[in-house]
Formats: sequence, structure tokens, C-alpha cells
Amino acid sequence: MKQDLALSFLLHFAVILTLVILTPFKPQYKLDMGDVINVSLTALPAVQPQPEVMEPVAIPTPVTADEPVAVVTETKSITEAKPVEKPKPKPKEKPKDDSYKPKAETGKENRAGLENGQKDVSENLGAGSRFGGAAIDNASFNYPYWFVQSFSKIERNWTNPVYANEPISCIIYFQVIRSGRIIKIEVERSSGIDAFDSACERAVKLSQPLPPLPNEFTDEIIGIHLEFPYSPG
Amino acid sequence: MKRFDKIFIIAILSILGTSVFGQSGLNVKDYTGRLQERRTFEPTKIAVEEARYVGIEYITAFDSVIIRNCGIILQNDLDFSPYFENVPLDTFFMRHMEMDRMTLLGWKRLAAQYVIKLEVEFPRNNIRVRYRLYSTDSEREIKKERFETAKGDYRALVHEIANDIVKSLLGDEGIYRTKIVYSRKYGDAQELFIADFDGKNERQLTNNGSINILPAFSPDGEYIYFTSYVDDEPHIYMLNLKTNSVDLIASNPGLNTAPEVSPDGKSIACVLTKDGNSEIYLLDRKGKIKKRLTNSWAIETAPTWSPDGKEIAFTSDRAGSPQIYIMDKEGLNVRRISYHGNYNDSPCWSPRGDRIVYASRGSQFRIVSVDVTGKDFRVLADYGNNENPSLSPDGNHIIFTSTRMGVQELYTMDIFGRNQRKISSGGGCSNPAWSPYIK
Repeated sequence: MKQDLALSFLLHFAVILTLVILTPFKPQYKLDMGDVINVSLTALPAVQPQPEVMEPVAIPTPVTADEPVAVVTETKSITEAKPVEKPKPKPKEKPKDDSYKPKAETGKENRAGLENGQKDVSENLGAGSRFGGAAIDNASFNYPYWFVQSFSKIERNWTNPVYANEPISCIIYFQVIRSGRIIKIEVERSSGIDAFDSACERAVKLSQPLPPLPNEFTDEIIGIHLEFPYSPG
Repeated sequence: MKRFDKIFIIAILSILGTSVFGQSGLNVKDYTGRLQERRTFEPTKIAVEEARYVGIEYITAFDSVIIRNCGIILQNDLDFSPYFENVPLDTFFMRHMEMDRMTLLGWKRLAAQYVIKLEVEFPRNNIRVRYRLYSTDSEREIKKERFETAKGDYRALVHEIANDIVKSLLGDEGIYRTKIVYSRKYGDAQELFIADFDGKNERQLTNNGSINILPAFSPDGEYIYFTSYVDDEPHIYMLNLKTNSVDLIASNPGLNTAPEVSPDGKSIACVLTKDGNSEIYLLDRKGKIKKRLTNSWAIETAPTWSPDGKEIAFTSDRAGSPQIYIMDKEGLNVRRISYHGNYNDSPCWSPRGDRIVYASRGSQFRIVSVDVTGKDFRVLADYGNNENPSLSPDGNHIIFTSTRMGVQELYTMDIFGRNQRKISSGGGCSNPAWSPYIK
């Protein structure tokens, strides 16, 4: 019996020793780096070239006396003469538009319900926005900054006065003229609760005036459909 | 039997579940009037690059200081607004990116949403500044505009640029060309001074060696109404800012003080003691009494108009201690709106119409605000003695006096009580009033 035990012990010891010796010495530890983002410290991706943006070439030579530069005691703005401004390089604008559309289609579905000529601008609502979706009547209006500024101003003025146990939403339609003035506000699709509808309408009214429409945009008026959602909890 | 028990329990639970969670129909509770779901907003992050000289002539050292100041003033102006946050230049970031000049993408990586570049030149002893506003998201220029003025007025020019940027991005009128007027100790006297909204460009308005206090602007910003003891008695005067001429408005027996011009500019609410007790009266612009608005044994003072000109808030001790009340402009429908603190004074109605700011005494005076029904009490400034609040024409900023640093100085803050800045030095400042928009 004792012999069997000793033999068994020796055999086990031999097997373990063999395994230890035969295993090649290779560290199995790997430094866990998590999600590594490779950053180039030497070169940044080139910014989309802005022609003559800050180059001295683009600076007009000192204005001559007959140029419409008003020298006044009160500071006055001198609107840049339009012909001086070189047209934006169209080939570079185009691909931007193309990349813009699929995003809108594949991204959050616009619950405002697009009709003919309307364009979904929900992607300009910004991260964390409380709005459900947005659409614009003028498809040529492509100024994301204007949407970001306008929608955040409306959001600041929106206070929800109701508590409901079901999701509700209301679509407000409003029109903005060049100066940023809102000339028409109406409830396009009611939530069914007057207090909620009027709170949404009030949020747009309180945001008067919105930022003026960009100078490059030639239309006089834009129409926006904005969805105000509410979900319980 | 056990299976039956289980089925029975499940059935009971499902019935309970339906009744508790599955109510049919829309259950809506209306909380109108209470602030629900108010969230803090993210200010727009904006970067201002150092101004660059783009002229073709040599400039003096003084000119280069002006160029540098242009960028700094614009940064300060935009940072003053509660809706903008200045993104400072991060030289550590630039060093590691091996950049000698920030690009739009670089600014974007520093979280800036907009970048402003300034180009300065000095034609014919003037200063001309062109600003370019870029969006870092779309990486394109949003707006460019050029301004020119006499070289000495470069501060006003940069304030005008800040106004233009606020207009472009927020749609609102900027307050950067507005003025403040205040009373300041000057030897034994108290004289009126006027300055830019940031306390710069201070200029003395009165120099009569007497006590001049409680100034208030007319709605067009051209006149200042104030109380002066220049004739030994407290009378109300009107100062024309263009001609610097002073006219006597009210010299009734006793106290003539605390003038406040109505938003339509046709009436002046003020405090007179001609009938023995301090009461609020309505005068026309020439000083003729139109109406007595309050009539009680108590002391009524410090009237302030609602922006629609239909109501007046004032201080009264009719309840035993000074508290804030509102009445309509006929003197009727009086209701109390202050319930915190045993001494509340100096109300100022926000030009937006939604809130009233006043000084409230706890252990010390602090600046507080309530909505027009007296609810939603908020403490805005409470370190040292904080008094005499006055609101900017956009309703976003408050100027007040504070003794937090020992002497009484002027401070500004936004309507949420943030971004508190000392804008005066030398002490002895009191009764600030913010001008309306100046065209």
C-alpha cells in the first residue's frame, strides 16, 4: 500500500515536472490598453481649404476715398461688397451635400412626416436635444450653424407643463424672415393636450427673434416644422 | 390542487397588474405655472484668435497694443454673455500637435463651435477691423463684416463687433454699447458718473459738490433723472447727456426722490413727501403731478416699472417691515410678492417681464429674484452686503453694489448669479442704473 502511494506520488511529480519543463517560457500577459486611439502627433488632417481666408492676398488694399467706407464717430458696420467675395468652390460643397442626405435618411427618422420639397434637418438638432425631429420647406437652406443656434434658443425657452403617462408630441410650424423675425407660428399637429401645445408654441414665441438668415441665402423666408416630444419617466 | 393555486395566484396578479399599470386612456396632470423639466443649457463655445495686423504701413508700439487689446476686449465681451463660453488658446495642445497657428480643426478639437478672426489696419489715423466668423462644424465662414472708427474709439468698435456677433448667432440685440450710470463719493460730495457696461471709459457727469443719487435713464437713453441736494433740498433733476444741461423737474415741499421713467417715456413715478408721508406719485415729463398712486400710513418708496408699463413694483413697510409689492399704474390691485427676509428693498423689474430682482436682508443684504407672482425665490449674490440691483436691457445681466472686498464697489453678474465681476475700483460707488439699448 505504501509502495503504491509512493509510486503514485512519484508519477504525479514526474508528470508535473515534465509539463513545467516542456512548456516554453513565454509571457502570456498582455498590457490591457482598452480601446486605443492612434493619434498622429505630427500632422493634423488638412482642414477643408478656405480660399484666401486669412492670406494677406485676400485682404483688400487700403480703401480709396470713393469706396463706401463710412468714417464716423459712431461705429458703423460696413457690409462687405458681395462681388468681392469669391464664390464658394462648388465642387467642394457638393460632396458635403451628398454625405449629408444619406445620414438624414439612415439616421433618426423624421417623425414630422416629410412632404414634397421638405428636407429633414433632424441631424442639426445636436446631441442631447429634446426635440424629436425637424424639417424645413426650403431644401436649399444648408446652414447647420443656424439650426443649432435657433433650436438651442427655442429649447432654452421650452418648459413642459404637463405630466402624462403616454408619449405625446406636437409639431409646430413657423416661418422666419431674413432678419430672423418669426412671422407665423401655428400648431401643425396637436398632441391632444392644449397645455402642451401652447407651451410648445410659447417656446417658439419667446425665442423671437431667431438669428438672421445667412447673407448667402437668397430666399426671403423659410418654413420650419419642429417636433416637441414628451415621453413619461 | 397546487396547480390550481398557482393559476389562481397568476390570475390575481395579472388582474392587479392590469389595474395598476395598464390604465386605459391618457392620464394627464397639468402643472402649468410650475417650472418643470427646466434643464441647464450648454453655452455656445466660441474662440477669439489674436487680432492680426493686415495693413501695409509701419505701426507704432501704441498701435500694436491696440491690436492686442481688440482680441482681449472681444473675448471679455463674449464671455460676459451667459450664452457664450470663451475657449482659451491652449498652447500645450499646440505644442503637442506641433502647430504654430491654430486651425479650425484644432479649435474644433478644443471644443470650440465658432472661431472669430480679427484683422486690423489703421487707415488715415482711423482703426478698421474686419472680423470673420467661422463655424468649426461645417468648417466654413459664416459671416464677415468690417467696422471703422476713430482710433481712440477702438473699444466702442470692438463692442460693436461683439453686438454683431450676438445678433448673428443668437438673434438678440447685444448690450455691449450700453452704459451704466452711478453715484460715487467725490471728496465730501457724491457725484454722478457714467461708464461703459464693463466699467471702462468712466466720465463724470455732475460736478456741483453736493449729493447726487438715484439716477435713472429715460427709455431713449438720452436723459438721466436723478435726485440732487444741490439746492439743499432733495429735488429731482433731468440731465441731458448730449448737451450736459441740467433741468429741475420736481421741487415739491419735502422729499422729491427715486424717479423712474415709464417705458413709454410719458410719466415719471417718484417718491414725494409733500403730504407728510412718503408716497409714490406719477408725474408728467415736465414734473407736474398727474396722480398719487399710494395712500397709506406706511412708507412707500423705490418704484420700478414693468416693461409693458402697466404695473409698478415698489417697497412698502405697511406689513410692519419693508417688503416688495406690485400695483397697477392706477395704484390699484396691490399685492405683496416678497416673503423671504425681514427687510426687502430696491426692486428692479426685468426688461423681459418675467422676474423681479431686489435686495433682501438676512444676516447681510443679498441680491435675490422672484417671478412676478413672488414664487421661485432664488438667491443670486450673498457674500458681503449686496444692494441696488439694476438689470441690463436684455434682462440677462444685473449690476449691483457689494462690500465683499471691504469697500462698496460695482459688480455685474448674469441673471443666474454666475460670472460675478468687479467692474469698478476706488470704492464709494452706489445706486447703479443700466441704460437701455443705445443706437
